[in-house]
Amino acid sequence: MVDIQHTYIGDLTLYLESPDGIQYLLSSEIGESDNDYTQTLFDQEATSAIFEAEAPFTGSFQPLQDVSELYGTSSFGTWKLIVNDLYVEDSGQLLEFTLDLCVQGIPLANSDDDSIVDENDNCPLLANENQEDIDGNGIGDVCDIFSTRNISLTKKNTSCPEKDNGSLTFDARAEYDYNVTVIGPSGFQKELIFTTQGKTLEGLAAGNYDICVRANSFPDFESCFETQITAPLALNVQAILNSSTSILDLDLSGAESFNVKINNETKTFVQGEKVQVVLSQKTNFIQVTTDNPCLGVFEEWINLGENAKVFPNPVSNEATLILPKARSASIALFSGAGDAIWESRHQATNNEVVLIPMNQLQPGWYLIRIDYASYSETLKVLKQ
Amino acid sequence: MKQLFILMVLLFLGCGPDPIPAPKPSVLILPDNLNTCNTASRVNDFESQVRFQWTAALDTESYQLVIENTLTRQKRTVSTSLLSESVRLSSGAPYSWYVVSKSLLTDAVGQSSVWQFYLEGNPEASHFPFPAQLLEPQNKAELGLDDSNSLLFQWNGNDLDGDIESYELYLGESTDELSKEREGLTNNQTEIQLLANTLYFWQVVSIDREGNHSFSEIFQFQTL
Repeated sequence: MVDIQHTYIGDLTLYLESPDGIQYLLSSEIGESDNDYTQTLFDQEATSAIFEAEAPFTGSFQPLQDVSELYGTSSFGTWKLIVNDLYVEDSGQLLEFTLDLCVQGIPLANSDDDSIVDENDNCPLLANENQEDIDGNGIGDVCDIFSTRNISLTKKNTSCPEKDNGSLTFDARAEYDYNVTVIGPSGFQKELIFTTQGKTLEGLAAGNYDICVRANSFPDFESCFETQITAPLALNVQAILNSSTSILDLDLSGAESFNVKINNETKTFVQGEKVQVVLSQKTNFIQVTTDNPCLGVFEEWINLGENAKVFPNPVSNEATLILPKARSASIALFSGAGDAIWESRHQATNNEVVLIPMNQLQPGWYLIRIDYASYSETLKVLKQ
Repeated sequence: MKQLFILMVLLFLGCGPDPIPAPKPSVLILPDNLNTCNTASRVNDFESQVRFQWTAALDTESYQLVIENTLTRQKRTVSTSLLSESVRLSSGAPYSWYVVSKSLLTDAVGQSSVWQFYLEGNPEASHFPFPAQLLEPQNKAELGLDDSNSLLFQWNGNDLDGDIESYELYLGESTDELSKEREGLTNNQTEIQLLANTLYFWQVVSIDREGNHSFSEIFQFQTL
């Protein structure tokens, strides 16, 4: 039923659009300059046709186009009345539009109140308007706990060699509560609950993980997975010193064979070999080279005696340098640009504390180079 | 007179009192040596901008910064007269770097020590395969064997990344005693010789390129 006020009713064309998007022509350019559609009911079952009627078209009329093909179809969705005013002059307004539906017979059961009756619904007890069924087995995804595509899992490896930030993400299509058990390296064990909202387990270390997903409401349901969270390869040469045992672990990768020189002794190792060296001297020089000169050289001084320390760092006025006990040294402060700013000789008999004035300096990085007779070390200090 | 002048200049150069000094090595400042998780400044998911810094070296006019991805062995060389350089590098890779000090006056160069760091990456999420869908023999089927006493096993595999590499088939006479009968299968079917009059259980494991394993349901069948 429509009610339209317009100063030249003949300008108007009316359509009804069904939820499927099909347009039915109700009336077109009738009534000329007369006024209005007043309480006009378009009814396929009416006795007179709209094109024979006269304005203001009060009463029931058959529309221009037959709408009987809508009989027996679902009313679910959006119905539209389309009013086209095809001429620039004159105007009007839609006052009222109602859609009356006549229902016959016995309504079919629809337990989940979606628009699909139980007998046609691929998941009668859970509303699933889209009826999605990814594995095409006739059971809708929201109910199909046993579908092979129900549970989905993703994994992320760690972003750095020694950072425990791998993750596992759990998701599901069928609407149940799931319990997951995750068993990982070094006694890691975690249980969590997730739903179709999904959940992510973060902060995982590299290692092997066993994962089993179960659902309380379905004791028969179990879906298990295994994976390895990997960490990126570490650096070519890593030297890790255990200071209590004086044992140096060298991790070598990136070439076939390595020459490891410790103080004056050279040994050759192949890739992947775990190299452990007992450091016997107070100051030790480690040099790792490969047969390929392009690969560069790894060099490091390891001082088992006390190293010099500087504090505070960053420094604002004065840096305090603490030297190893009973050692002579020459100390120099360099700017980041390499200019020597301050120099001092230190005698073994002096107190170990050396104060370095830095209050006049520009903010930035500075280097303190300490030259002992047999070796040297460089400390970095940041001026605020 | 002119000739004499040139001769004198040559003599002067030839007998100069000081040899030309070789450039001395720089000392590296940043990024820190052996830092296993350098975050730098992220440009996008694949690249980060890393700032390198070193000290001035004596008798040096210019520097050559050499950066090597120690996995791919790809090298980048940047020449500069400054004491720092910002370089865009692929993230998720280990790098080593050093600085060569150079002078126009001599071919000799100075080389700093070699430092290393790992540039943090952004690992991509990898999907696990969906558990395989077992097709044949059907669950709880009763079936006879062919002349060679073998039976064809068939299943379907699926992975959102499409990176399934292989399947393993487990078989046994009870669900607790399944043993690996086949591995490294790249087809989704295989033939296995079986005994008659036996109740069997079977399961398929799908394995993708990222090492993710998914276990299918366990089906059972009876041979006649």
